[in-house]
Amino acid sequence: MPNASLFALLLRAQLRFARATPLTSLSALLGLALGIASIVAVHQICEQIVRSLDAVVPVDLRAATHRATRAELRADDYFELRRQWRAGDLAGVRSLAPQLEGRRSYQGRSLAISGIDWLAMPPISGRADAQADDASQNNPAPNASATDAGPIFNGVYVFGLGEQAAGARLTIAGQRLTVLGTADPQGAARLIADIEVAQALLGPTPADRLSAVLLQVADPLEGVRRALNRFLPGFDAGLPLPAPPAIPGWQVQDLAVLLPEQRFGRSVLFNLGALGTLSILVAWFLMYQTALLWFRRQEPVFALLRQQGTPQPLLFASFSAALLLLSTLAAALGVVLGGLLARGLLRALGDLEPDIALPWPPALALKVIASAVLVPLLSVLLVARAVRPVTAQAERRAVRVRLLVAVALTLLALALALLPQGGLLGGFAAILTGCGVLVVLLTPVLQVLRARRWQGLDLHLRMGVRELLWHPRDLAAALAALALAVATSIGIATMVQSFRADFELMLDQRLADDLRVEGSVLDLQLFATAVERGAVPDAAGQRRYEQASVRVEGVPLTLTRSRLDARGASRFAVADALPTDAVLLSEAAGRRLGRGAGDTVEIGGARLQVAALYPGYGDLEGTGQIDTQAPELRDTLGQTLSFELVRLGVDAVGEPRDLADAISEDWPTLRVATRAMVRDRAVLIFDRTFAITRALTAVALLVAAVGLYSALVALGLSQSRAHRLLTFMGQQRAERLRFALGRALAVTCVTLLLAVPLGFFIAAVLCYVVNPRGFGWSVPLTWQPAAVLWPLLWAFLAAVLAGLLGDRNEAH
Amino acid sequence: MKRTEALRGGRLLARLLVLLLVGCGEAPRMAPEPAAGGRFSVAELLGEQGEGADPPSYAVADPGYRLQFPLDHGPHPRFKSEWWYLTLNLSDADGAEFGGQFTIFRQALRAGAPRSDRDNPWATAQVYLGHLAMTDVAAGQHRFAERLSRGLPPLAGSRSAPFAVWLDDWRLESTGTTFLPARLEAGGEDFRWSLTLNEGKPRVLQGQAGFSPKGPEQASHYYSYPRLQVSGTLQQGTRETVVTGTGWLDREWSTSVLSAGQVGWDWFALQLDDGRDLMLFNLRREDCSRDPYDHGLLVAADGRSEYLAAERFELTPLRQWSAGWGRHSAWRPLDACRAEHWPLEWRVTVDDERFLVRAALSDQRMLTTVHYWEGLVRVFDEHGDVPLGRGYLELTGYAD
Repeated sequence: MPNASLFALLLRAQLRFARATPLTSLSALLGLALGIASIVAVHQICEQIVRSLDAVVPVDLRAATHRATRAELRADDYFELRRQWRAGDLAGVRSLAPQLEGRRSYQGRSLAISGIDWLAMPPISGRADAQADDASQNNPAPNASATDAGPIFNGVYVFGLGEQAAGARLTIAGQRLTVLGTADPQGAARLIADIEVAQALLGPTPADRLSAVLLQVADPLEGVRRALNRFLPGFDAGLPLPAPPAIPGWQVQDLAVLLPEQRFGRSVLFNLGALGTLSILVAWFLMYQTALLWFRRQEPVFALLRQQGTPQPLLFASFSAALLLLSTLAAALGVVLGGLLARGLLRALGDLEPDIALPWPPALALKVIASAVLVPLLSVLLVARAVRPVTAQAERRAVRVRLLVAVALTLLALALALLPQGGLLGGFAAILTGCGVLVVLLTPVLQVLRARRWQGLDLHLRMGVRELLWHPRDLAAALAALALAVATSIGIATMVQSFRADFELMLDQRLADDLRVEGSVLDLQLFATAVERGAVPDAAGQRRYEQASVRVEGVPLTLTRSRLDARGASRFAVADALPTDAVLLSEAAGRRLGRGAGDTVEIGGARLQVAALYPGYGDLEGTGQIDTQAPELRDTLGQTLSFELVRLGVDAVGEPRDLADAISEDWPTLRVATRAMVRDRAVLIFDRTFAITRALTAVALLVAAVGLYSALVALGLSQSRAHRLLTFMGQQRAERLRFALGRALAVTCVTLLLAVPLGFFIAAVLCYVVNPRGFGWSVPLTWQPAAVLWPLLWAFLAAVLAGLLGDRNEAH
Repeated sequence: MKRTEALRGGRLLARLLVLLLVGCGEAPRMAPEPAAGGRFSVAELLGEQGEGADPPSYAVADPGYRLQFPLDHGPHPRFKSEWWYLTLNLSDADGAEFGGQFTIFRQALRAGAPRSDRDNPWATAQVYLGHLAMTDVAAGQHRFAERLSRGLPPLAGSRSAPFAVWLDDWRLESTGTTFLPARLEAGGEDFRWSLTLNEGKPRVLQGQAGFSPKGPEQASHYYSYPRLQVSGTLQQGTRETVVTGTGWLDREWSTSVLSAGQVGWDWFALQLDDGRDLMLFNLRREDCSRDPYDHGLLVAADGRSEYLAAERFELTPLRQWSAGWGRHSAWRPLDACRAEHWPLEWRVTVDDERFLVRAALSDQRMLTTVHYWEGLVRVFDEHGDVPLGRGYLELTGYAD
């Protein structure tokens, strides 16, 4: 028979086999589909978040990478710097542009204005499809008289100025402006313009002063960053930032450091990407396990066919083709499921408009294809190797090698975690290396457990345990996948719980007032006056919280001015009232400025002593607190720093809820929330933030459970002769159940021994390495039993269920 | 980027500015759509045409105006756009060929006389754009650079006496009290020109005494130095090459616009070995008809110039080149008007005389903000056997 016909015949036989074992085939299909779904979902979620994060970077800063400042910076300094750059003295700098920042009053609000020379550094870059032929705007009238049409670019981006249509006209300080884009209508008032417009808006004094010079510096890792981002969106946050160029007489800072929201977001993405990588690993383990299961099932038939002269490569080719068919179907299903999962999770996060199509970039298609094609083919090769007999001596030698490798990997993981130069990527590499230790140690652990007598257990339980421990080659992949999934779950749950505990502690401290009242500056002023006059019944007192954005040594800082008496200071875990010449800095601000308690720092021209650093989850930007009696501060242009009244804290005489209702009724333009409401909302947002992580961990556990099922079925098949003998000798149903329980017990033991230490390692790395490096704050590790017990219980139940289903399948 | 000012100054700069402002990148969540058709108009962006504002008014070319020197070497800020456009055909001591281009465009963003604003050091009504290129034929290399700046003296500007035009450290300026000799200093990332320009033939006024009609209502003021004597150095990395040759400098300013139906243009500036210089300009129309304002200029060896009306010359593309294919391919006659790729070989007929013009190097694309092809060409007899000279060719409006 020609090989082609024989191949077709064998392939048909494979498919008949798949149909004849529906439970096995369906479970493999579902497991693979879930694995691919998690790959798709992680990618799409990360890609979507990357888009949102790009929006976080103000349009004026998108092209820039660094910000250079110096004392008393003037336009001539910029021109001189530009001359140096053109002369080739600023190596690595691609472009530079002057930036002017300041504030002015607009409609009763303090409007932050940022101006950049848009011709030196365009505000946006990339797409090039704008209309070109606008020639009809010209007027051919001869000898035209001069007209004053205002500054050269009168387009502006506005934030926090309510709903503004793009193309709408604004007039600020006599300047007629066109709105190019708007965002965050209810946020802080901010306007981005060309520098000429900004100077005109800020007024003539002091003309020719500049706030900074923005630089665009070439990144030697740009190619790597782009490639990495393509396959794992946001993962580039793990790469070190390019070193700022050294310019004598100038302070140069990385904008990535100065844009903490984006940095935070990218760090979150990095974590998601890392989790996604673990999902991929679990899915790939499952693929291998499926290949092994199918091969075990058909091994007797293959042996017969080989004896009858069927070439071995043809057998493997038909086997691979059948597996590819299965994985292709699974990939299609996984793509659909992944899309749904991503959409659902993003909706839960409130980050997805209903009609927005999720991205489907080529890199994702490549990942799916690789998972559906390359991994099955590789699995077939590995299976062929795994089923070869191995001598006991070779096995012992392999164990020794594994132990040595495990020691080396452990040292490497610790080094990666402890070396600060590693950045986020170092933290992730430490986790991956830890996972490697788990995989390498699996076989030696099985051998150690195998050497135990397991006395005290019922015979059938003991037989179940020993059977599982006796066949590491059949089970290694599934057990490794399960242990990895459980370890990830423990690590992430512990980290999230630690975060939550810290977050709740911070909320308890900060939410000192009974009510929080927000609204426009004017409304708040009126309301404050009413409270002072006693016109608001049941309001015992009020506390003003005013905010201003400042730069301290070039680092942006959100400065809040409020009454920091003993009670006010206690919100930041400081026992005594804050002196007027002191400042409280957040942990992130302290780190960026290199200041600690007792140091002094110059803010807005005033020298203030750092009374303490306060910790805080969610402190992205770097914040500071000063007392209402603090000396007057000045902005970068030398003008008096203007504080915007952002909210009032009000204490109630009676029940806060009643006072809140009364205020809402009498002052409809104000937004009022009780402490409990603010707390609940904050916790809800926190939980939503981690919903993706939890969902992905759950998917990984599910995939691992399917893998375990496949492994136990494979084990059952390889031991079918022994099982038949037991049945022949009269093994009862209840005894078979105890047998399955024994295997589950062994699975749980192995998982406990391997996954729990790794889980804690992952949690420790996330809390003490990744968080400080990625987010800028540390979180004390808080251990809670549920974080460990739930995943272990899941592993045990999955093993029991898989064992029982496997037995039924085997009987069938 | 030559000839019709509408195409060059107006269109290019308008496009660049729009690209810079609205055409590029997304600002996710930058909420509402622009009011009209999803795009902003240039006038809105530039603040030129707003509600209640007077429409902007620029000066336009006047047939009665007589060019005045050295005044007209300098800027004309009341006109919408102008340029200083230099192309170079150079060789080293061994005969290796080099081509060069240096262009500074000035574009006014509002009409009227220049205004200084002491309270606002960034106030300006002028934008300067620079393009610089170098072609090394033997090495098969074409390098280019682009710059854009607001018209502020420390950054970019121009003046008539002593003449200078500059954009950062790119600078073309007279070395003495007269316009020529002049000095060019300009460099890209990996090349730098340091050249001295001397007068070869006297200045020629294009069109009618420097008034050059481009359409029924469009015209420019236009003069050229067709055969400058050029010498100096080209630095490529650490290698410095002494070069000599000829250059062609165009000066043009106007306020005209691009008319409907035009899809691009082809411009030739050829310097023949017999001492004649030839400029030909062909405006391609969407309907493939010949534009009546196509024109040319023939400068005799003794410097006398002769206007060439459209009916006196013909330009026939023979072969096209695509960057994607990377090689020459047969010209497709059906696409004669709407070529898909760059036509790099032409038959040029002037009265009864025929030439073959062929690119010295295929890839001389200017992949700047707006893509076009501008590069060194060789001139042969009609069979392509006998070399007759060299020159520069500019092609716009073709697919890249």
